[in-house]
Amino acid sequence: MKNYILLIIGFVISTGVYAQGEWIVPADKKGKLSTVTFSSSMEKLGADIFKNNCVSCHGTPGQNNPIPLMPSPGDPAGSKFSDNTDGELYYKIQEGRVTMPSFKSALSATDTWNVIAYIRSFHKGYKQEVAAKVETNIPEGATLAMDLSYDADAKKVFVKVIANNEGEQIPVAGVDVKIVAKRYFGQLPIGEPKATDGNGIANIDWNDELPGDSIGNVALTASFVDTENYGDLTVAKDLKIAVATNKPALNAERAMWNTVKKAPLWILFSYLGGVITVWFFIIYVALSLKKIFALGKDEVSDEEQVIY
Amino acid sequence: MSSDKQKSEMSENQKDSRRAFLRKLGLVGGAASTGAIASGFKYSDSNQGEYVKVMTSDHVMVEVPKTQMQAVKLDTEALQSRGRVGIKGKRWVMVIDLAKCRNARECIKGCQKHHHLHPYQFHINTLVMQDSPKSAPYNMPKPCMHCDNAPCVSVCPVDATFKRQDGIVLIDNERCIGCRFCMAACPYSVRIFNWEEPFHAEMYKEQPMEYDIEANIPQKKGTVSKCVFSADCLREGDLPTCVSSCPNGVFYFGDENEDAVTNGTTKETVVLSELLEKKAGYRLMEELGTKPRVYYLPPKDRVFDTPEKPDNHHS
Repeated sequence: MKNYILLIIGFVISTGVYAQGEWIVPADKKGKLSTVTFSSSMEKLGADIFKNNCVSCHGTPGQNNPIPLMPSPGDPAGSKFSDNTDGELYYKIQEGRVTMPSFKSALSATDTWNVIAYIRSFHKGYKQEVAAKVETNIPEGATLAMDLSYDADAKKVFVKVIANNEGEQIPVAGVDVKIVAKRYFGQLPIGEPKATDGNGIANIDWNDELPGDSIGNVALTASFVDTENYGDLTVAKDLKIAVATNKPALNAERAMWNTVKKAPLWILFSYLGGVITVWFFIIYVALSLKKIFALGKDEVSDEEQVIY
Repeated sequence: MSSDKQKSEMSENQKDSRRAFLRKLGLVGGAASTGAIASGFKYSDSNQGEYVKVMTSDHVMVEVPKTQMQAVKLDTEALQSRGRVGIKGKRWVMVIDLAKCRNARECIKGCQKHHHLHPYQFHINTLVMQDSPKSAPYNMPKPCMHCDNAPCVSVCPVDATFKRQDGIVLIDNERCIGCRFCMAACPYSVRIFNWEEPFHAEMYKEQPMEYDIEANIPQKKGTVSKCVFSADCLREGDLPTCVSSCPNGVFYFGDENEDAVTNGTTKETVVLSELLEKKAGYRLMEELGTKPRVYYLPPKDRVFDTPEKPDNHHS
């Protein structure tokens, strides 16, 4: 018992020390800034995301009711959060640490900034700095368009990005794009993200072993890697380039555990054989008894009567 | 007959529903099963509009005028026949990364809420494991393994528990006679028995609900219950409750046919074969030949300290 208490104390102390270990954000990530000014609509969107993803651990901001984890998740309205730069908050949400999960795949850059906008709405005296615009060959006011195609010979998927500036088509160079394949519960990244070349085309290696549906279709979606600067533009296409998958149902084979119709043949035959054999003998005995009974009713002549 | 009246009558008869069903079956005899299902639908208000494409229950695409469209609420029999069939072309698979489990027990809480379980009943549990006195313990979440060669299904005398085409082992508590053969047969001890009235017995009395075999609710006293991979969520395209409630990214779930699994916490999708190959995936009691559909990744990083005195179950 004493040992057990010591063990618990030891565990509490050790995790306590662990909790004090500072969460160090790489220097180049600290200064990251949002490209847009936080607005009330962003805060609203962020509040929804926060409700779905963060409340379970962090509690409601301002009410100081995070769940008792070690290290403590902390109240987003408190100084534990307000002392962070925007870049640090962004990094921590995206990467996670120990009990804080990584939201890299769950929240897009836009979503993450919305959550930060929501958290910042609780911090008094916070003044937002907005990132400087990046240099690209995309003219101001142009609309971007994206297209997806597959080259069977090169085994590559091409993503073409074009800026449409008042009727003029300008290929967009030097922008990272990625593709994902739709799976039942999520999006599977395909290959590595690639930058577009001078023709506005990025070629991404295709994994020709990827299973598709029953006829080999796969739903691909292309998007920008840096959605903060280039936006949430995507292009989705069903391409017949995956492996057709037609595996039999898992209860198709004959097995002990399967239903009567799919029971192993030897069980069906031996069982039916047993039933038939037993009934054969029951009927045979019944018929024999009937025969004996009938014989007993027969008239017996005097000569046939044997008297001992 | 109005649907409300039908409903109240059904709840009155709920106690004898199994017998009543058998009696009905005897009377109807060889009536077509589709007819029986169709009569089981309840209708809500219709919408105005043009033609809509819909898939019938026997997988035929038909066009129906939108004015004739009626949303259906499935009743017990319809839910059962749907639950028996499963989802075509799927082979569900779960991967549990033991290195990430910190015993938050959120999977258990989510599961108990979803399946209306008593706090002492577990469809999924986390076990404390210690391999040697010198190694630190780790926590192992243990759901049903949904074996491809399921011993529990083999022993069921009344076809109450069964395996579907998508690999899920379900239990029909309208058929279960409570013999508990399946509990004895399961090498992983994942099945539970409803010794008492269910946790939400009062709620069932106030608001009678149709029996959903894919969630195994309402629970029923005297029947066996088990993990069902949240089959009702899978139909909607959602991850099982335990998978999505884990705060530590322990669970991956997906379709083996698509060779992809999605993490319930981070929603990151990865290639299943690569994950199992590179991270040394294993299954429990492989030597029994039960072919589980749940894989484990080894607990390579221990997050708890080695206790001074090892847990010794034999002392």
